[in-house]
Amino acid sequence: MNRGIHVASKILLTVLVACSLSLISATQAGEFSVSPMLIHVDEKSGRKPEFSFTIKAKSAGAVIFEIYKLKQLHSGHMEFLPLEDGDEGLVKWITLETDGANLKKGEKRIIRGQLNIPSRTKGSHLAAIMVKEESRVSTDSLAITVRYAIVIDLKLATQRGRLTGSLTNLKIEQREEGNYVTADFSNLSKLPGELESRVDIRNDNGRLIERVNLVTESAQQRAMNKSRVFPETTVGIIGLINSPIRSGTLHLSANNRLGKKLLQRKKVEIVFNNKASGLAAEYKLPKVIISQTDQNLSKNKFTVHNPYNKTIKLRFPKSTRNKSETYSFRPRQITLNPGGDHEIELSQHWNDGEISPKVFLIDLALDSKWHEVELHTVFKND
Amino acid sequence: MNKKLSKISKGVLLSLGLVMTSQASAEGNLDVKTSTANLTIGLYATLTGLDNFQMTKINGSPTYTGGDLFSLATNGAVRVTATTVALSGTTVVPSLTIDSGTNVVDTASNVVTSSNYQLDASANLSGINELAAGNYSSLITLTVSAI
Repeated sequence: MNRGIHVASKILLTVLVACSLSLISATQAGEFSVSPMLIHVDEKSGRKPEFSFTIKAKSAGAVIFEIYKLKQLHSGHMEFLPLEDGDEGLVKWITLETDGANLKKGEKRIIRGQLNIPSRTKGSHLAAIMVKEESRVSTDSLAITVRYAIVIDLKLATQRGRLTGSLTNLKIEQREEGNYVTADFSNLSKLPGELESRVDIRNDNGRLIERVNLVTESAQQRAMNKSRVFPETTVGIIGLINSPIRSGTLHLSANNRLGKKLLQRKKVEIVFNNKASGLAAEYKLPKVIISQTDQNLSKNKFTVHNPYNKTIKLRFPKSTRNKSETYSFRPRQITLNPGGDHEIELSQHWNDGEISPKVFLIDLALDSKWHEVELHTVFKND
Repeated sequence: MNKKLSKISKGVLLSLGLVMTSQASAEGNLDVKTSTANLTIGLYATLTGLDNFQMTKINGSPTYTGGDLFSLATNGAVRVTATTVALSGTTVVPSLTIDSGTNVVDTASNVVTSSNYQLDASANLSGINELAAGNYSSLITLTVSAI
């Protein structure tokens, strides 16, 4: 009897250990490498080209293969979507020799497939074969699953058609972190293209303020100066304006090239208000007290301060000499560390008439965004 | 006589052949063929080292955080995108970052790289008053792609 209980408890212990071990292994991801991640197929319609990819298991596990369609998002990123009823195109032309595999540690497996391209088909097509582990469910943690999207890029030899597109919603957006030129670009053709977009910003006098390159968020993350735009897709493009901009009328002129095709230039006129906002709106410059002299001259020194816990820049207007007045600031541009001070000298001369108070617009850079703040000159008794 | 003639003609023919051969050699009229060998290496990627993890509460805050390190080896430009769904039975979707940036990381093109990255998840439960005590789970998917 005792021996029977001893054997039973041994068996129970073995089962318990086996269960806990299997639970532990279930929380670790099966690990694979996949190659190639991108399969280019240049073919003619009506053909049935074959392709293959290789999976190597770094640890034992089961994988499944599913066909996914691709969609380009407004940000320029690609989204992989499972198939739905009624889907057509390349996703329906792909056949694989198997829809899954069980691999031992270190095992390498070649999976073969074929494209059944219908006749009289044109254009450029994309689809993905998703190689993923069989789902693991966790009830008490964040489960991780890794999947590899093997992209099939099919270019048909019979493809014809020109690249064409259009730019819309060209404007300047004022964000907390800076001013940006933004727009939407639509690829109206049946071919993918690399977009180069550049916007010239000019003031009302025609002076070029800055030339800004626009790219999608996806291209920006990849540090690319061109954006890939897929057929019949609209993406958002954006570029940071580094220079300070005065409030007033601005003229934006966008030059776009899609592949080798130079597109029609787009021009818009916008009224821009760069009045200080957010934290910068609290910034106050001291009033400069001016007084009447015989020569209609006023020379003043005033101190500017940085009340923030970050570095700021101040840029004063260029020296001006015209019929009615002359003025200059020295220095013209300063950088102030948190809590820092600096003395500025303002010289003014009124050529015809009496001296008078004035409001100067000063550029303040907080983080990477420029704001306009006002500097008032006043009489002593004001 | 005939023997002499045939010897002479043989000699002439041989001389002619030698002259032609030497001329051909002098002119460099040799048949040269070339062939080109091509090698295409496919883009590969392997992501390893990730395990399930739990999010724990930050003291004095309604935020739960957790994370894990992973390695990515590739021989070109690939993109890893982290996505997730709501915690089971809730509408709370954890926020994901890779290396404290966005939920996307890109590797450089034309370069063989093997680097470590930190995947972090956080969920802010402020304003969520009616979650019962217990475990909540979700699934994070890391997609490795060439585009």
